Amino acid sequence: MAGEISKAIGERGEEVVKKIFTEILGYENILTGINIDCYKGEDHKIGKTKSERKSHGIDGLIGDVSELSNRTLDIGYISVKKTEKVGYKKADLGKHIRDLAYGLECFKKSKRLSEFKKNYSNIKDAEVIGILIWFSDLDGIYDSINEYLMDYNIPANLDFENIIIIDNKKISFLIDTILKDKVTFGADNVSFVYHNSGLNPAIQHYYGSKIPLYYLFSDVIVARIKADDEIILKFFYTNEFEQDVLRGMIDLAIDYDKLDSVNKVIFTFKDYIKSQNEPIVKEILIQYKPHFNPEKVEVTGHYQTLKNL
Amino acid sequence: MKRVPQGDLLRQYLLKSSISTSLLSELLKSKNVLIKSKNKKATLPYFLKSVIDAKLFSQIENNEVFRERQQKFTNASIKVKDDFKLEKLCDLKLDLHDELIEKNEFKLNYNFKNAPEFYIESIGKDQIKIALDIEIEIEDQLENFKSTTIERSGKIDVILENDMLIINKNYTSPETKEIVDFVVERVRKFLKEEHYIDKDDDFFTITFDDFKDDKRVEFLTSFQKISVTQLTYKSIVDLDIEYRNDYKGFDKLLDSISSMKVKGVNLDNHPFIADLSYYSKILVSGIKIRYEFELGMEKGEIILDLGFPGFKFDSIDETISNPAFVFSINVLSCLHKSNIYKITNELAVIIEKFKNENYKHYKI
Repeated sequence: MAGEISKAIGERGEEVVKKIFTEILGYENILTGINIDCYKGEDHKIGKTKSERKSHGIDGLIGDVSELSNRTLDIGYISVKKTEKVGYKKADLGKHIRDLAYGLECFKKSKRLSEFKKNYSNIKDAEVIGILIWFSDLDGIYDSINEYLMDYNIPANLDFENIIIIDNKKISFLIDTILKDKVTFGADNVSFVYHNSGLNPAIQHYYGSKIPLYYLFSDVIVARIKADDEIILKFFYTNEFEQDVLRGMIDLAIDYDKLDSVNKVIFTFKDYIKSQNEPIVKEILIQYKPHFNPEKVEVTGHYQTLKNL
Repeated sequence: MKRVPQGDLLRQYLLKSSISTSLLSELLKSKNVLIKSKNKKATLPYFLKSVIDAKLFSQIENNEVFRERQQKFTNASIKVKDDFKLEKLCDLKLDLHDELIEKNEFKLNYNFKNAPEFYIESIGKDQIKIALDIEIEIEDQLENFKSTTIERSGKIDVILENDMLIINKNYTSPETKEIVDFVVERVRKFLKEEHYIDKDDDFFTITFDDFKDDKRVEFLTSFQKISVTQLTYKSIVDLDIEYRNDYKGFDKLLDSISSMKVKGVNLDNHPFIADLSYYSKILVSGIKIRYEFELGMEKGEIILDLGFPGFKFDSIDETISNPAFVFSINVLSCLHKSNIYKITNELAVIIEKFKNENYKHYKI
């Protein structure tokens, strides 16, 4: 019975990850259900297991030549954890990170990685990014793991370079923004805008269908939307409205729209309350008037509610 | 009036040594990113390759500005021969502009506002000190949007006590620290070339490893007992602590903790510093003490921050595993804000003197 439940959780986890990476983030070729050999069977045991560990299961593997770093292949090694009950358990955090870190350690030395890289040409570097998707689909869909993470210290015996944790808050943000717009305007009409990282390739694309993996922890995500004959630039900010954040995003919008070729620029905040924030927004837009046409700007919530109608 | 730099400008800004790698790692953690490396070059791409919002950038900026502007004090001493006269140091031509700016392979981000050279200053009857004032202008596109330069200062005071030459170093930003350290090295070379010191003698600085763990705590808390009219001790407020695995099982509250910042109001009787069975097992690397002060026309409150900044016991970098003792003074309240610099300097002399006399009772 317990085995069936965990199988069902695993399947649901896989389903959610596929949706996130293919439908929202643009990674159509996600590989799932992969197994690699464990090279440190004794050290990589988890819990009270007596026997040595033989393998690591990879829930998802994605990759793309980076738009932000010259001739670099970004590889996402995904581990999915779904909570059985509502909310996050602090005690599980260390366990999940340890499991992913062990997998990353063996993956870096694996034939699987070597073969994965062969699918891409003209790269000089490959960066493996550990991604832990940890969610609960029962309730608390805006819950964050961050409070627990801030108290977490990485144990010295874990050998990994990086781990990005995608929690309920981040998944809900992506659903409320990118996925909603993809449904409204059509997936092909919504692209991610790439910024100047100072490390970009010589021939840089300014937008594309895939989100760079490094944007997964940005609080700002920028999309280019093609709606009929109009081009819309849309800035999504994860949290509530803040004046300086809006100013920073306007700076970025000016940078992206140097040729004044965008028809509309929309800035969205979580739970934006129009009656409270509109006076200051108007003031800010007047300050930017010499450089930015306030007529084509809209500031609103991630999606329409009574607060921002 | 851009609020957030991007690309090369952001890289340049984050590379400043006043922006610590641990700050960058903590900020990444607040964005749900864990990185193992403590190396800044490995941390930077996470900032360059993500879209930095104004709130995150101001967190970096605020932390950096505070650290940069606070004056830090430390000293180094060396035994000199009997024939050494303090004014001899004025024979040493520093020519810092030429030595540091012109001869440097890479263009530095600062310039000297003055041409600093040692000068003699009288500090009482028949007593002199040799001083050096450093004023620099740092080129910084990002410090503020009205000017592209910021000003920072540093000071060196050299005194002779019997056969000990003591150099008191006072700096703010990493740039001024770099200059101060450069000058101290020039002084050492000068003393060696002129045979004022023995061939193998070197400057001596108080470092973390000069103490056993319990004695280090006692040394830091001994500053409670400064008995001068200008300072009245109030309480110990904060502690920086590291706890090693060696004592696992001693106290289950400490078992899974490796480091801790203890913030309090009155920690004087807290077991961490009052109970030998605790403090002999804990590595206390910093302590903050609150005092009332009274200096002629000025009075108010200060926090004295004492310790070994940046300490990490498991680092392979010796400047981190065995850092030098540094103190700084944060004026909490005073009558006239314009006097803060003067207050800090006057109190620093008192604390410096106490430290030098007190240290020998606790060192190994």
